[in-house]
Parts: sequence; structure tokens; C-alpha cells
Amino acid sequence: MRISSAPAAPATPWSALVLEVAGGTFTWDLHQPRDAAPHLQLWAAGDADWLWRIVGESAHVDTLTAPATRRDTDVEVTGPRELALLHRLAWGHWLRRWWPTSIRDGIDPLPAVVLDAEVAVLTTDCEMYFDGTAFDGDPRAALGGHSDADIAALARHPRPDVRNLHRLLLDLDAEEPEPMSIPSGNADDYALAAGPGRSAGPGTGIAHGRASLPWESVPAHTFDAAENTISWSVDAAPEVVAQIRIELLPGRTAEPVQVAVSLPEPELHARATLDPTGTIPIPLPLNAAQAWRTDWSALVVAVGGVDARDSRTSRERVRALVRERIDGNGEPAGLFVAEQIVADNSY
Amino acid sequence: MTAPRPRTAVIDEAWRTAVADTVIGTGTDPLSVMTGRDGGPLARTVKCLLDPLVLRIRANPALGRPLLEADSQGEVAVLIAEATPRIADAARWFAELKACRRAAGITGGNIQEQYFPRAFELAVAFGPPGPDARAVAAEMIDDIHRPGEGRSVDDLAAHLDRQHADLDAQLDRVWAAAPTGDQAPPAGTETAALLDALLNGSATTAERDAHWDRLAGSGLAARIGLAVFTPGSTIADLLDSCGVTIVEVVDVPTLSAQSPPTRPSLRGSGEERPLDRSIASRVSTTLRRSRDRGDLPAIGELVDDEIVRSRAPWALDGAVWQAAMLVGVVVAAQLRPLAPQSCVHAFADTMSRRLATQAHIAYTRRYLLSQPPACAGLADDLAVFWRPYMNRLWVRLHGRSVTESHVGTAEFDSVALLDLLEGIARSVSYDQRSRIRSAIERTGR
Repeated sequence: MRISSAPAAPATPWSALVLEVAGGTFTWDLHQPRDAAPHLQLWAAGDADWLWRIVGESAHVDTLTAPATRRDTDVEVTGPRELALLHRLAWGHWLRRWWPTSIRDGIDPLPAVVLDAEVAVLTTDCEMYFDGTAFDGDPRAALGGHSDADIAALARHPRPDVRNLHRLLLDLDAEEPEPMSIPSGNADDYALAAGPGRSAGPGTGIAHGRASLPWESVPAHTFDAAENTISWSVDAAPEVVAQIRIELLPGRTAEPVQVAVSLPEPELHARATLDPTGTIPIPLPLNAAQAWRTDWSALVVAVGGVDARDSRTSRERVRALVRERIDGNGEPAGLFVAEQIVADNSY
Repeated sequence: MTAPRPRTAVIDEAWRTAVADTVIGTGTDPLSVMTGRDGGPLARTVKCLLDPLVLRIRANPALGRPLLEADSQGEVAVLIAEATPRIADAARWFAELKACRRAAGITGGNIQEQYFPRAFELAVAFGPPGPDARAVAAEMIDDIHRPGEGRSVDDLAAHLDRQHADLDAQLDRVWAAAPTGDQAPPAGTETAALLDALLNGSATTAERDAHWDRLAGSGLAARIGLAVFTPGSTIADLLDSCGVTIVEVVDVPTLSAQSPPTRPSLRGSGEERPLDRSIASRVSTTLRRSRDRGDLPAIGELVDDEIVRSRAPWALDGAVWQAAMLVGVVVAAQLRPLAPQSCVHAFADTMSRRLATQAHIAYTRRYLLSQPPACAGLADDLAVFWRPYMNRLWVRLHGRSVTESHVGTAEFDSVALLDLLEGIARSVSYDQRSRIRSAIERTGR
């Protein structure tokens, strides 16, 4: 395992599993096997009072007594089981942030409350790795997005593994079980809402095309995570305008992210803020005659300042990884309950 | 073994021994409520019980270091072994407290943080829970969760209702009698040299303690803290003397939205900046933050003191707290997590770089810069880091200046000072990240 004073530099935020613990941050490559050694950035070594659990006491002492000028050291992992637990928690956080839900690609959403319940339980199991200020250390924060009723409804879920998660949650709260009068969630709640998402119609106007969304510049669970979900068309009359539409997941409202279009020739940059419907017209500084002469195939659409063309292959790899897990060819024992539910539904 | 060992590893080992001894000695395992998944103590057992009450690391700082030397290792083992029966009693009391809490329908807050120290207190006073345990525990729960007699926020409101005119006049008098700027602020160079020695030039803790003692005893912090109330650019000049780069007015830390701050109102809420907060809001913070309200002076006295304090240097009492505020202002001006730059003071530099590396700021930054309304204000707070920092620092120092105004540098030494300043940065950063996090959770879930 590499201990460094510098952060890991994954190509994109979603190509790494990240877990912040007391005094440091673990980063695993998303595609490496789960027993692969992570990168550990220690930004406050004195706070990392758990280090010996992973690397043993003598490496812990060495790390703390090393001269401050030392940047990187490779140390042997002596607590692989502990590390595996942290990896699993990091994977849980990745699922919450980056699961590529898509109607187009047929990747169902993970049932959020089930996933968050499991992350909360795992967080409690890892309590010795967190202090009061660690970003990922609060089990309640993981459940913050859900009402008490949603959580209580887990107790009557048709799946025993979900009911078990609920029991574990109760243990950690040391609270009385909720009364059972809450209407239970229907299993269908967790299946994907029927019907296609708002799909982008074929462009009218003088030119049209498609582009992909950079996952890192939009919030999770809002847009369809497939490729080519941004459609654009250019109208030349009455004004020259680029019409942008980004596909949303069903029932979602777009966040007001910045959408920018640019051309090399004639050089132009224009931008606007996305409407809640996922569309936005962006006026372009051209007249109609210029617009007709322009080679629109060079138009670049960037969302949140990021051009997604470079990271397309990485996104394909992520989808392949996710499919491998939910298509049952992967390692069933390693699945989160929420993934298992999606896997079972996909039959 | 004579080599140093990680502190928590030593504690872990001692805890396992304590658990085994208790099981053998009593046939029960009461410590399980304080034990984690792997048999070691919960992190909160260490933080809320072992550190403050058994190892007493404030009094024995050698036992609080990340690595323990051989003699400290032995000491930790002995202290935990000696306290084991008492800790086991505390664990039994904890179960009683938990049951009472449930019966009283109390929720919220972390139950281990709230009750571990109180359970230990009961174990010290009563030994194991006896036949009257329920009643004792109920009384303790009442004590923890009910405000002290006559010192609730409602009592404060009643007092202000009764005395409104008098208190308002008193506030007027304090502000009218205050020095009006005839006393020039001290030359920045002298302060800058002391700050430089404190934050840069100390090779040893003893040296740093000496610099801190000189600064706190110099009266400079009081004079600068008073000058804050008069027109002029006291803080900007001070930063300039220290060599801290100030490009825009917004870079200069302040404690008020107005320059200079004016007389606060007696009542009212909603003002965010410390010196704009009403007297009532300052006192109610004191009431809320005070764990043992019975120890506080009566409401009338608290309000009278607060009125006088409102025109004291930095609106704080106590030379040590005023000096801490001075150091805090200069440090705060150098903290820019979103655009770190090299700092004049090594202490600020380390802190600034650490803030910048805090994971997730990087990954959330891009999203925040697109300015979704869910994050309104958050991006500003990140960019103008000194503002939340000064707010929090002032509240912390204010709390201590109410209850410990006479503390000196022997008790609040330079280590405590730097810990405090860094702790504030961390808690601001943590708070911001929690807000970023909940903004992200809210969107789309």
C-alpha cells in the first residue's frame, strides 16, 4: 500500500473509490480487484490513530516518525480483512454517488434507502477509522436523505436481506423498533418507474448532433447516464440559436448547471444555464448567412465546464463493470443488497 | 518492549484485558456496550471516557500523544486496569441511563457522547447501580436535558421583558462612555514581531509559550480590539505590518457587517456576524452552550455583564481570550482553501494547505461552481473562509471569556492556543463539507 502526502490523481472522480477517514483519504482504482492495495494520502498523520490496524505497529510508528520531507512510502498490509471492510464501504459510497442509472442503457436505479441503510451499518462497523470531522464517518448522514417512515418501512420489506439491514440499523441506534403501523413500501416502488425518460427528439433546424454528459459535473440520480444523451440543433431563423436538450431520468428536474457550446471556426463560445426541464436555447453570436456556412460537426457541448469526449471509454468501462455485477457473472457475495435487488429485477 | 507504540494500540490491548478480567471476575460482560465490532473500545469510549476521565490526557499530555514511549505505555495499562471495576460500573449505569432516556422519550444527539461521561460520574459517586438506580438515573437524565433552574432561554426572555427599558438605557450608557478613538491603535510593527515569533520563529514549545505569554501580557490585543470599534482600518493595517497580502477589502477579516460596528440591539436575532448579534442572542448562546447551567451566574448578572462586555475589546473579557482573537484574525486572513497561497506564518501555511487537501472539497468544487441554488451561500463561505472562521472563533472565545475570564497563559498555553485555532478551522471545514454533502444528498434523492 502506498502512503503519500499527496492525493491520488484518478482520471475522473468516478474512476476511483474514495473514503475519507481520520487524518487521511483512501483511494482505490475502481477497476482493480478488491484486494488491490489502495493509495493512502495522509494529510494529518497524527490523527490517523487507526493506521496500525492496517499496516501493523512498526510501520505505524515509522510513518509518524519519518522526516516530514518524505513524500511516498510503500508499506505492507498486515490487516487485509480490515482493509477489505474499508474497501467495501468505499464501494458503497461510490454506488451512492456514481451508479450510472439509465433508461437507455437499461441500468435500473439502486433503491436508495436500502443502499444508504447498508452504508450506515458499514460505517458503524468502521467507527474506529473515523473521528468527529471525517467526511464519511457519520452513519446518520448516510441516511439523511430519508424520512423515518421510509426507513421504518424497510422492516416490512418482502426481502429478508432488507429486513435484516433494518434490524442492524435498529441495533446501532439502540432505539425501540418503530411501531408497525406504517404502510409498507410496495416492492414496485423499487423497480424503475415505467415508461421511457424524456427522450431527445431528432433535431430540426440547419444542423443537429449529439454529445455526452460528463458525470462529474452534474448531481447524481438526475440525468440519464448513457452516452449521447445531449441532443442539440441549430436554428438559423429568426435568430441563430443552439437548442440543447439533455435527457433526464423519469420524474426528475434538472439542476441549473452551466451548458457551454463552442466552435473552432468561426471561433465562438456561448453559454447558458440549463432549465429545470433539461433544455436550454443558447443564442449564438452569428448571423444567418454565417450560420449556413459553418461546419457544425465541430460543435462541442460542455456541461459544467467539462467536455465529456475524452472520458467516453472510461464511462463504457464503468457500465461494463456494473453490468458484470448485476448480470450475475460477478461475485454475488460482494454485492450490496441494493445491487442484488437490481440484479434480481433484471431477470 | 521499549520502542514507542501507537497510542490506540496500547489502549486497545489494555481494553481487551479489562474486558477479559471483568468477564472472569463477575461472570458478566457489561463492557460490551462500550466495545466495538473487533473487541477493542469504541472510538467514543476512548474519546469521551478513557481519555478525559481515566487517562486524563489534559493533565497528562504525554498519554495523549499519537505515539507512547515505554513508560507511558505502562502508565496507560495500569490506569485502565485500575479503573476497570469503575468503568464496568459506568457501563452498567450507561444501560440505566439509556433505559431512562427511552422512557422519557428523549431523542437526538449521540447517546454515547452524552452519557459515557455521566455514567462514569455516577460510577464514581455510587459504585454499581443499586436498588435506587432507576431514580438516580432519572434524576441524571433530568439534569442533562433540563435547563438549570432560572437559567433557561425562556427565563432570559422574561427578564428582558421585565427590565427592557433599564437595560436598553444601560447599553446606551456603556456605549456612550466608551473611549472614542482618541487612543490610537498601537504600532503594527510591534504586534507583527510578536506574532511572527509566535507563529514562525519558535523552535520549542517552551519558546513559543514565552512568546505567547509576552503577547497576551502586552495589552496590544486589548488596544487593537478596542480600535475595532472606531473608524479606521486597524485590522488592514495590522495585516499589512505582518506582510499578509490583502488585495481586496473583502480579504480583511471583520467581526461585523458594519465598519465600525455600532451598538448592538438588546433583543433580536438573525444577525450572523458576532458584533452585530444582540445582547439577548449572545446570552442565550451562553445558556445553550453551558453544560452545567447551575454553575452560571444568575440571568440578571449574565445580561449586565454582557452589556458591559459588548464594548470591551473584541467584545470579549480576559486578556488571554482577547489575545487569542488577535492571533485568530491574522491567521484567518491567510486561510484560503479554494485558492491556497503561501502564507506569511508557517502555522497558517500548514493549516491552509491541509484545508485545501481535505478530500472532497476538490470533487465537490466543480459542482459547486456551477452554483445550484441548493448551495447558495456555500460557495461564498468557501471563498471567504475567514467569515465562518471568525464567527466560530468568536463564539468559542466568548464562551470561555464568560466562564473563565481570568485564565492565564499558564493554563491556556501556546499548545492550547494553536490547537484551538486549528480546531476552529477544522470544524468550519467539516461544517462546510457537511453542507456540501447534504446539498448533494438533497439533489436527486
